[in-house]
Amino acid sequence: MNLATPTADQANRFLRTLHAEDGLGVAVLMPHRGQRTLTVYSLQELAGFLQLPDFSTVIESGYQTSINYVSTRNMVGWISDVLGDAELGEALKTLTEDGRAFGELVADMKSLLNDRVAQCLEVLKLAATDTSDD
Amino acid sequence: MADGFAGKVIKVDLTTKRVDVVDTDPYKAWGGGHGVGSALFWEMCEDKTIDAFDPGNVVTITPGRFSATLAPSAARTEVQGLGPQGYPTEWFTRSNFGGRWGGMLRLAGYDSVAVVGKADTPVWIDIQDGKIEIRDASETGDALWGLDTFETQKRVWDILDTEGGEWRTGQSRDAGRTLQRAAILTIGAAGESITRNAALVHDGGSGAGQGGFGGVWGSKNLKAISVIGTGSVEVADAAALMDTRLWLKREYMNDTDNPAPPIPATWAATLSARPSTGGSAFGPGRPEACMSCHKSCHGKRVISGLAPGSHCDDAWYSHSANMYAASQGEPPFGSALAGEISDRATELLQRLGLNSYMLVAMLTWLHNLHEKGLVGPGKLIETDLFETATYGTYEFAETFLNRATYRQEIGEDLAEGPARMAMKYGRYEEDTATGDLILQEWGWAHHYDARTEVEWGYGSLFTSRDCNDHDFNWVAYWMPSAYALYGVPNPVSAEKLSEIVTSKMMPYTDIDLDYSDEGIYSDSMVKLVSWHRAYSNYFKQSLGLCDWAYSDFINLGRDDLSGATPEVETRFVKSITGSDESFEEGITKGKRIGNLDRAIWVLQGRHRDQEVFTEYNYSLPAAPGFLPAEIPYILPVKVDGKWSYKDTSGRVLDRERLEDFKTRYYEFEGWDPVTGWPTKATLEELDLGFVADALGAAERLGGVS
Repeated sequence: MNLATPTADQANRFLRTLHAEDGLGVAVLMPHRGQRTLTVYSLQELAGFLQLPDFSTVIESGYQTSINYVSTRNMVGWISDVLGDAELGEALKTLTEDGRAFGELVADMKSLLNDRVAQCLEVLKLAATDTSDD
Repeated sequence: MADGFAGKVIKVDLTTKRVDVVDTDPYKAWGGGHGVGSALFWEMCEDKTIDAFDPGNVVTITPGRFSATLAPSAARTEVQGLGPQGYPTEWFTRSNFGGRWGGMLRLAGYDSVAVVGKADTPVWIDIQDGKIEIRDASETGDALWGLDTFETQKRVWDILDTEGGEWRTGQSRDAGRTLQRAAILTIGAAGESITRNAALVHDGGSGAGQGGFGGVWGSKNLKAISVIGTGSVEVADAAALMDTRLWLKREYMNDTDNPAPPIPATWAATLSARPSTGGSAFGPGRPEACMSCHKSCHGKRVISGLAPGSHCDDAWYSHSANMYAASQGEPPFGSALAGEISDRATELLQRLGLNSYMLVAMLTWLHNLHEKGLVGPGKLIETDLFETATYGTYEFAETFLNRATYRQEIGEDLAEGPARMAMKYGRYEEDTATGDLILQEWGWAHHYDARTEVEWGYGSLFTSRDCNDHDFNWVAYWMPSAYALYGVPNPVSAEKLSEIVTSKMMPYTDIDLDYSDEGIYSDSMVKLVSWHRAYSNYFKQSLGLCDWAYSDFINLGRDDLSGATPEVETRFVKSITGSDESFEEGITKGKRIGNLDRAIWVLQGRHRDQEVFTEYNYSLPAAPGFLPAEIPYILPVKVDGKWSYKDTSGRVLDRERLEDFKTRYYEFEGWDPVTGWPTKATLEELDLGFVADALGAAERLGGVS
């Protein structure tokens, strides 16, 4: 999925680390050990959080496994409304509404997030180069 | 005839330094473990309304009756007494640990150790077969006081090696010979500081955390109990016991010669032979198992070597460490940096002897309030905790743990546990409503969700603690949720699951495993919760069967998909104890134990009005602590006669319907629906007339207006 190249201002905004109550709630689901809640405060943290062992690994691991979970609905809302990246939010919304299960979506969601992060970093790198040239 | 009991009970009065060894006979009807512990507490704790740190509190440590036999996954030991963790009342409660301590005690010839009183100076108890000695743990004696839990165990081993020789060759197999080192149960500095979050620790990571019994030991000046047993536990029919093991191997994948059976056995059958990896979240691990268990749930880290034997405790800080590592540009999960932080933090937690689960609740709460600007220098909760080190680093964990242990700075508050600390700052009501403080009932941290997986919540509410019984949790929540999250068809339909599981819940009939909005308040759920309490009280907590292996409901290796419960329990009972006791009779024994416990709570002041969840369970339609994210909670439901697996997250409990459920539950249990107190008829039917007399004398007998 292609996302439009952000401006330097947008890139800074999309990559910023949010404060306190603006974070996105995520959860680590664990067999026998309960559910642990966490908050992510940036796009990079969210992209990092989104990783999942494949199903066979979950089966093989028994009690030692865990599943990193985020509500896709809340994630889309957070990215669009709190982080302010409506285009990425829309792209994720489209992705997550195709009927696939969460575990089947994670790799694609992560890829999209990483693409956006890479785009932003590239834009900021170019901007920094331009500034130094001045 | 041999009946699986070791035969003796040790009673220790630390005030008088008196040790009595009595026959187990008067306690045998209670089965072992939990039942025997409750009976000993009832008998020995003269005033059950005292505080947990009162010298009159009695702590019992009682292995399950199957410990040190060939029964697999049966090495659990119960710890009971008044627990300082409970809120608002320090209820009589229980904890439970594995490892080899319980088996060792039984090999030494004892079924329980019951401790009352308070020593005037620090002591430890040294049990070596028939020799029992209360020894000086102070600086001028064996110098155990002040050592951490690992140092304490090493010091005791050194002492015993020096005194008795490293190799105990003995006279014969059952007379003084063992290659084992002493099994030691000890407290760390958190217990010595008499905190409410202190655990009892054994070996690397087996521990009784919940309840706060480490603090109780500290209040009694009891540092450790060490035991070496060189005898054996005689069973009624060794051949039948072996036959049962072979039957499990043949029929239920309990094949320890083949730890990697063709189907994913851990997932498919709790009693299968597949080890649960025993590793660390951050790298390879070497499995470590409890005595007589093949499952190897504990893990020894082969790289760091830290916190050997920890499992659940690993989770206490790993997620914080992961998030910190991600902020430093490391891979967000499983990085070497996060692993180092987490392993070191867990090692320190174990050494200090702290209860990880309550610390997580407290740390999460403080972090939430810090984010809201209520924690920090000059703030409502005055502390520089979050300014001293960065959250997620080892330095932060070290500061937090040391303060909670040594009562430094904010540590005086931390030592009181989250509920009491929140009350002190006027935050309890609001923060348990918003979910910032994730205490579900009785001051216990949310573990699994009372709003969705109600048998967990009800079972906790009607007792004294987070129930921590995974029987239904595994097959009804975790397996369906994982399958659904991955989009993989569940090989056991919701209807089939209900059919199999409820067919095993004798003596009750007409039960559905239905977690629908109607099902959670149904008469069927009344019976399910009652059965679950009784099963756990007896088969797991008294006989010592591990909660992570029993009950065995589902087995995907069989054509009928049906696990070994209830046949496996009755086979073991018959071969080990010699009794023809039926499964239904076992459930009745579980009810008897539950009623004795309830009578103690009633004497402590328990009333129906107190049996309510914290506010978030009624009003917050999501998992606590991270609104508005919703955790998927996929459970079997039956709606309009049709079965399916459905995500029940987002549900809240209806206060009125729950109250109605309570009324029917009390009536089903034979308790007064107005007060929740057991009636005379119920107690007498369970051969608890002496309990009825005590409740009557206290004017707390149900059904008496």
